[in-house]
Amino acid sequence: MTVRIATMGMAGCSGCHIALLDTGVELLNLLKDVELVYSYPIVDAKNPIPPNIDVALIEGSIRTNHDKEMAKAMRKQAKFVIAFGACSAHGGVNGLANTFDAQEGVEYVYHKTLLMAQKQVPSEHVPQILPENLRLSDVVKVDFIIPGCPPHPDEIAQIITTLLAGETPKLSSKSICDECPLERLTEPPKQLRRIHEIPEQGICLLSQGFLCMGPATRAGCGAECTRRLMPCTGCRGPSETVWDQGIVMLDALAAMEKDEITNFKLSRLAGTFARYTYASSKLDNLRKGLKKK
Amino acid sequence: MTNEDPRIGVFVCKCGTNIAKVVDVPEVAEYAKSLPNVVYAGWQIFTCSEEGQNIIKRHIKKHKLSRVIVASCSPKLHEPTFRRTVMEAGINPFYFEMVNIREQVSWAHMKQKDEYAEATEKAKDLVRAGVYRAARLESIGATTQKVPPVCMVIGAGIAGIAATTLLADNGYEVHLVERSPALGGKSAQLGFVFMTDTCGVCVPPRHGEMARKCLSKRVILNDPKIHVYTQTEVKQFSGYIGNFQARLHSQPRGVDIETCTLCGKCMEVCPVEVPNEHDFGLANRKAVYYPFPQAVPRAPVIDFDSCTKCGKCEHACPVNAINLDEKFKEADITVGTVIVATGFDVFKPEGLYGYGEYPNVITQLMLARILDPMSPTDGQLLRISDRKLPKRVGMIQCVGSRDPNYYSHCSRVCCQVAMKHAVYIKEHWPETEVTIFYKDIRLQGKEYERYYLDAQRLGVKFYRADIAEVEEDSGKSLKLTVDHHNGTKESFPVDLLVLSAAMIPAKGAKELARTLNLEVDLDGFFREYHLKLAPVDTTTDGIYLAGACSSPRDIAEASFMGAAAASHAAIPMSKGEVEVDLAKSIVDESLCIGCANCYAVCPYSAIYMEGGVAKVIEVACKGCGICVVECPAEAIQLRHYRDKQIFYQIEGLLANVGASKK
Repeated sequence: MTVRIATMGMAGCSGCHIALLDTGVELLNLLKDVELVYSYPIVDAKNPIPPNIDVALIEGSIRTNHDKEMAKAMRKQAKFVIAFGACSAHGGVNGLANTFDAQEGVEYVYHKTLLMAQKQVPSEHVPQILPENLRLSDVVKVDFIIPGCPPHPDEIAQIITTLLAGETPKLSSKSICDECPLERLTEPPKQLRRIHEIPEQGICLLSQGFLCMGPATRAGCGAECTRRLMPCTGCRGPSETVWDQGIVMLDALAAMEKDEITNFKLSRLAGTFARYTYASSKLDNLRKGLKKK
Repeated sequence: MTNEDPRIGVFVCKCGTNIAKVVDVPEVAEYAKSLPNVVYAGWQIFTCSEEGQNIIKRHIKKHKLSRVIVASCSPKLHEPTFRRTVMEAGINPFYFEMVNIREQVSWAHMKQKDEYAEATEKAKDLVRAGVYRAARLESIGATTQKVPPVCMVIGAGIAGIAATTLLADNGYEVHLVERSPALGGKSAQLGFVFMTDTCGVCVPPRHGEMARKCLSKRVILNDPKIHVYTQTEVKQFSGYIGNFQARLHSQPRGVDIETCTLCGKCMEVCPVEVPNEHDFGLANRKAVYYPFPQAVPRAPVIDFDSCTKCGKCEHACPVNAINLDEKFKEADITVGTVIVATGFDVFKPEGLYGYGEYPNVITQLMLARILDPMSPTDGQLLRISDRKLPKRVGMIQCVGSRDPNYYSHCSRVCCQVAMKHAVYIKEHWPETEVTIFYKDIRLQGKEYERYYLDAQRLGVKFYRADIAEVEEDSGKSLKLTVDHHNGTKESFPVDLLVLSAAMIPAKGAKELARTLNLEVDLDGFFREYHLKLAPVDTTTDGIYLAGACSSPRDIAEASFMGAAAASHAAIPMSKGEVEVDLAKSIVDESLCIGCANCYAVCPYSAIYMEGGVAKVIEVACKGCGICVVECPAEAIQLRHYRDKQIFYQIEGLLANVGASKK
């Protein structure tokens, strides 16, 4: 029996679809048991969403009312919906748009930027922008997430294989540090260091004062970045016990370097601590609270 | 959480009219009945009373309650009371939840009558939050910690000695640590002390023997229970009640106390002479010297800062008690409890009223040295510049105290001290005029009024005035200018000016606070756990305060505070153990990434790193939750205040948002 899989893209960069294709030979193996019934980057998808979909992979965040309607339509046809990638799972980088008012953003793009200056904001034949960038689970019920920006091809293949075997896949409940080979020091860093500075080999980046989101980020990628001395930016979202990736890391860093952190502006905080999760972070409540004042 | 649904009982308290005047208590109780899992709700006039507690117990049995909520006052006040109540009824004490509708509701809105209705709604919101939280509470046990009968007392002044002798009398071992070379603290500098006019070095008496007791070698140095460390400071400190570890760092004395026969030959031959700090430089001393004539331990001490190491004393000593190459010593001790009695320092009023500029401006403590029968002046009143009897003595009160530019507190003893010295001068040198310039005279306490009356009878002049200026004339006399603040000024000539300088935190108090993890107040004194209800306790279990280290105190107060601290410290030591509940931090070691953030921020040193993960010493943990907040992997939770419990409480608090706005 073949499994009917559909994929869909919302507000995003199609990077997750590329990662899906990046599974390479594994993809060819999978396709033996899979019928790809709907997938705009891979097969022609001008037709309406077909019925009886077993698994739907939805990439991207919900930015327009079109995204919202499409997500709902897919949910109706699909038995198992997967939020595919950081945008869909946590709001993604797109979520940082929530630090601005949506309408002001539209005005800015159509009136203030050089190329679009004095142009009218289109109102016909285009979907309307939503006041906020949402994650998939804000509009429909989501059965599973594949985190990452983009998700790791090996993990995608492994999850689909598990699903094909009729089992429920599981994500690691631990944090990146669990997979990271760098050695932790038992002393907190003396000072914060900037990303362009050269880290020492073999020593935990956080211990060295680099802002590494590893501790609050879900494991499963094999710590690909940190093992190459690139601080984790937290693309895989919060680990199981972390209730808010950005705030938890902010708290942790504040304990180490009070002055520098408390002087950060919200826009910097959001981009630094909640780069992929701002749309689902309580940090946004801070902005809303400030706006009310 | 258990599988069974919790059965919650809500008891709303009127607290007489304290709560009932503002909050409609029966309405709150009625509302509580509608909340999820609540099987009983009612109100009482005084829930904390014996009767109120019995009602709670009865309802626990009748309704088979598994959770109890009391909506009344601050948990600081009665949480222990009700935890005991539910425990007696067979419920785990941590299944009790307290909602504060007095301090946070009725008292907050008492003065605005138009807010009473809203206050009732607020009380309902808080009760609802409590009900949500109560459903998620967990059962928490306790552990015990052994407390050995050993106490460390830091500071050998009045309070420290009172605590030490009392503990030793009760059979406890005491390590008495003193920074200076001799015992006695500031009181050793006082020739006679107010109230009884007895000798300063002889207080406090141990029971049964009234005189010359405390500082005599026989009592403290020969007591096998007391270990005295002079010239010693606490270098490192860690641990928790029952297991405090201290590293004591002793400066070399240069003279062996045991072999020294007090012949005094070393002092005869020593060629170095420096001013004696005990007498404020009124006399000189050698580099090897007695700190003061009655000093205990009774052996000379070498001042290695001024010693030239010429070796003459070593040759002169007939018993080879002197070792000029002696090094510092370190000792590690483990104690069950600690009493901090580090006392105070006298404010140095540099730049005020000519102090430091004119020789005849001195402090009360220096006057005490002059008037001491054992002083270099043989107790004769004289002024510094010409060593002649002053004809006019002026005293200025509140120097540095009650002054927004220096210290905000009242030093509490200066009025008595000024009165004592004024009376003494008038009794011995009746022709000398004494004028006291004051802001307020504050003489409280037994027998103090008598001083005031004596001073008035003897002709001491009291002048409520603000001294604007002090100038010196050619004869080294001083001219005080009083500003009446109405355009007129008045001058007073005096020969000797005595400043009643403030009592301030002892030198090094801040560093000691950091070493021992003590809190300090705005003026820099150690902070007690509760000013009235727990004045000798600190926020760390097993560490107690005595004497002027927590506030200016006189000798009588320091004495009974030392006794109070000793009796508090004796409680865990006499029981031999303390019970510690486990509502403390707990580390999920599978999630811990070993970043040591928690170890770095813990204010109670309750976390240590082992095998790459953090471990909590439950006895030392105070449950403040800082580690929970800073943990980047959310591997630490605080039992009784888990994130989920708090979020659920917030959910309860907000459950009616919108509905209550109408």
